[in-house]
Amino acid sequence: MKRRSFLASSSVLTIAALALPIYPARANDPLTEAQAAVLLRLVRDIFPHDALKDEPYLAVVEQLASAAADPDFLQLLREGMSALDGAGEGAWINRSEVDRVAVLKEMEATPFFITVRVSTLFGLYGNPAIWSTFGYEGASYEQGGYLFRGFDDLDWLSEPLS
Amino acid sequence: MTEFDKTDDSVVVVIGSGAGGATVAHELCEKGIKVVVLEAGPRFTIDDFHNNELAAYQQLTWTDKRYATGDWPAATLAPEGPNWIVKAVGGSTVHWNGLSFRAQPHEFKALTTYGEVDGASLADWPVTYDELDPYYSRAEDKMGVTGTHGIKRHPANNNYKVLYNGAQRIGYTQISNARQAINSEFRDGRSACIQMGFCNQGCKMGAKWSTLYSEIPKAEETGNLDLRSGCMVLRIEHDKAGKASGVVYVDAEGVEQRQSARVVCVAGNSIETPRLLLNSHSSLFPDGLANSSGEVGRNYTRHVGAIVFGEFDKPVNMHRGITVPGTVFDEARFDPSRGFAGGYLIEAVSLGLTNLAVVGDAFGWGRGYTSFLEKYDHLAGVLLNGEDMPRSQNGVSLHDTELDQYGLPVPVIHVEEHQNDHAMSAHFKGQAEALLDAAGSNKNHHVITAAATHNMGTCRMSAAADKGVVNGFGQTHDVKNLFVSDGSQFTTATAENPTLTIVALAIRQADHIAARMSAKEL
Repeated sequence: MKRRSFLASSSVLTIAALALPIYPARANDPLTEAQAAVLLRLVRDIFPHDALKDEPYLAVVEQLASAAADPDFLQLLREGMSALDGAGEGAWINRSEVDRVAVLKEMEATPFFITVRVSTLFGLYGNPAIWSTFGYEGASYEQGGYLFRGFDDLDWLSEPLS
Repeated sequence: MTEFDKTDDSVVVVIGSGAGGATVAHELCEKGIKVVVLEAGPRFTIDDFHNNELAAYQQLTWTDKRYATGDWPAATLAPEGPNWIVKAVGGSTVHWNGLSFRAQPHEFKALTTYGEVDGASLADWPVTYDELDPYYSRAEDKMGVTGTHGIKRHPANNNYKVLYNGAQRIGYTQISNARQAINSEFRDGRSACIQMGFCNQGCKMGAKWSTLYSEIPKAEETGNLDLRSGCMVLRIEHDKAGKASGVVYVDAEGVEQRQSARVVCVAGNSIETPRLLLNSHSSLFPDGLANSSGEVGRNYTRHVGAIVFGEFDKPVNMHRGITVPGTVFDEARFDPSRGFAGGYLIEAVSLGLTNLAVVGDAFGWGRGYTSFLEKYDHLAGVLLNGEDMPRSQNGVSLHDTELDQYGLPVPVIHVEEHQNDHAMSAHFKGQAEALLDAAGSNKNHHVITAAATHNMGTCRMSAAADKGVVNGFGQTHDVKNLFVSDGSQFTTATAENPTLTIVALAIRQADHIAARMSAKEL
């Protein structure tokens, strides 16, 4: 790819990403962009953290999309998303958070919901990119542990006598 | 590396390389006895370990299929993976926390002390605290337990400060951060702890005692140890007289092998040990090897467990430093006025964000749950570790039809919780809330612990041959050259974390085996 066209295409992607965070569809993707958008909304509603941008959630959607190469899994996702839309007036993704969550509450025992929840659980909280938002510092070995980095810096309680 | 011939029938074969197996193997090797250790899992080095909860879980965990039945949380929350134990050289000493408490004298006499409890199979151990006392001391020295043998304690970390202050404010007096088999300074070839966290993921400093880098290399240095990793034992064979004669296993290349043996020690943790005995049935032992009592697989205990997290105004950063940094012992006493037999420990505990999200609420989702997770660095945790009641119907049996990748029946772990366990758990929850509130918690979150890590009692010790599987030395009543060397021997659970007692029993057992061998009795 020539440098010029690379810049052009990447700027299009950037603008699209700013306008509406969408799953970057590829030619042979099993999911449509619209379906990917529903999944993004879904994984955000299951584990909502306003402080997180869409990237870590999109990573989960990508994992789901990869898994959807399996026809059975794809069918599970498609049927689940149809059920979301079927459970009220209009497309589920366009409803208010309260309404969307009410639909999910009704569906929380379904294989679709359980599968997406567990995938999101590991895909999101196992992603080191989000940890600092929660104050979790992850691997410490490379930095020498916390012996000189605050393992005992809590100063609002008294020091134990030993 | 030492290799013994597979037809060499002068060797002791030890099955499993965790706290019990590797300790008995090392002790025997030091006495000049040839030992073959068969370990189902692979051999890692500390450089292979991950400071990452998911990666470590995938690397270390025994994930062969198991089923949980009954009414314990695992039957619902982890029905195909009810036990969090390790499949690797070093066994569960790779992921244990390092807490090294002696069981209390009265706990070895559980039946005498507590009296008959309806629906429980309480019994006295055939070994007393006084008999174990010197072996406890040797175990503490071997493992480098802080607060013993002149070994200094660790400094208090943040999570322990919360436990300590909360406990003091509600009137507890027995609060300590000692008794850790984690080096506070360089000792016995192992580094000092650098308060890294990730104690459960394999200590990348090697500061925490593990047989992987203590007992096993020392045993290898004697020239008397032949450790074979990746070897899953299928059955123990016996001769016409009913003595154990050899062990059949699948090696790391998938080839079936047989190792002859003079003595066999089984230490596969309390699921695999009874499973192996049951799978080793023969015409002479139709109900399983060493199972004339019918007690193999029964009386499974795992400790009553629960976690409560308190949410504080100011940061705690519980993940910084030792994972289980301190303990309250006030509730470990025998005091039936609380409404239950047995006692419990309250231990400070931390989880990383990933594990917290996974176990914090097995069904949790939505803003109620995520607002809790968002408090991560303001949380402190306290853990219940209490004596659960042994019950005859609780234990390990073989699945009727389903086989695993080795062609062995899948183990089924059945637990019906005793009302005593529920009463203890309820008492803990009240005390834990009071403790956390006293330290300044605004809100407490209760976590159900599903996966059992302390597995005990499925081949219990008893003085009488019809009441248990092994005697006070772990020697099976039915087969005199067959020993159980792990926590399966425990007659009752006691309130304390089991590893130190397993190691003490293993040292004592090795002395016994060596003495019987030199007297030509084995």
